[in-house]
Amino acid sequence: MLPSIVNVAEENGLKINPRTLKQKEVLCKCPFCLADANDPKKYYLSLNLKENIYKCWYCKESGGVLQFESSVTGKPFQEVKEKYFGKNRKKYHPAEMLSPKQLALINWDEVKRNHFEEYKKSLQTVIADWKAHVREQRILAFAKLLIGIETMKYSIVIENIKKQAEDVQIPTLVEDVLSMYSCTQWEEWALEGRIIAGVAYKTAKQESKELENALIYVSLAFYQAINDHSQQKQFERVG
Amino acid sequence: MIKATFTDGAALYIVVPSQGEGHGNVIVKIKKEGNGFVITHSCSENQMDAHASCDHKLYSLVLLKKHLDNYPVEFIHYENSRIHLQPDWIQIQNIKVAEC
Repeated sequence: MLPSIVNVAEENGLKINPRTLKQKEVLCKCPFCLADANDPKKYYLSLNLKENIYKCWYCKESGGVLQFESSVTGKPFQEVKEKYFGKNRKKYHPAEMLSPKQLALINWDEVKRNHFEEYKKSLQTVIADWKAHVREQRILAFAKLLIGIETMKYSIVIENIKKQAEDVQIPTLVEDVLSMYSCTQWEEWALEGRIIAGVAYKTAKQESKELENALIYVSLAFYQAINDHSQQKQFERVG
Repeated sequence: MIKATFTDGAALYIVVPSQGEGHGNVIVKIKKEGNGFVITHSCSENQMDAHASCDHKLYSLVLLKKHLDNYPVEFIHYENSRIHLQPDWIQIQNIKVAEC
């Protein structure tokens, strides 16, 4: 059984507005943006008891109770899910292990919410979309890593990739790219990252004669490559 | 050629290209132990014998020779273990061993 979202907030020490405790929407300080932290009268995070969902009116962070517990405790979504539903309850398709945030990134969250039957029939497509997303993000992160090392900005680039991992909901991203970098034989996605890093390095050298901002050119080269790739796919379809 | 150099405060790590065509790397750990050094890495050449000759071992030895000069080194021990780049390592200025 799912826990109450207010209990999760209390257990994790979130400051609740006591006046709202008996209302339909319980208000508390937002632990995600902290925009209300310095104003004792403001509580931006709304906890809906009936639906067991949350939303911050300032940063728009939202989701269900499991996502909430995962975010406030820092535990992986799957671990929180297992806490309430057990480990061997049922054999899940890998696509069903994706969190709501992960599904949102590949545009399947709405389908799951509003057309559940269609979503259940499309699990293979969902996981294929997720794998494509992971592959793209690995390419970008690997290109950043190569440029970071080349320009002696390793620590900065690691922080940058950690942030990317959080944004794109791939907790293993840093480990994935570092482990590939240390391999004697790079996989195809790493070689693609190497090409992007090469383009970025060349552009940075041409544009500014210095490599200080080479990291910026990685993103540009990456999105250019993604764009070219999707255009190429369109041509393939037309042809 | 040494592509990059790192430290974790206790050991030195050098990144050397692997011999294959896959553009991969081999990371070699050089750690001081008493009056000697332990050189650890894993490549196709040292799979069966940690003391086998390879480029990675050669680079480590040239690097030690260049920087230790007359420092007494009693032993150099070799170990075979794969080293992975870690997020908390600190990158240090590349040491060019090809010049020596």
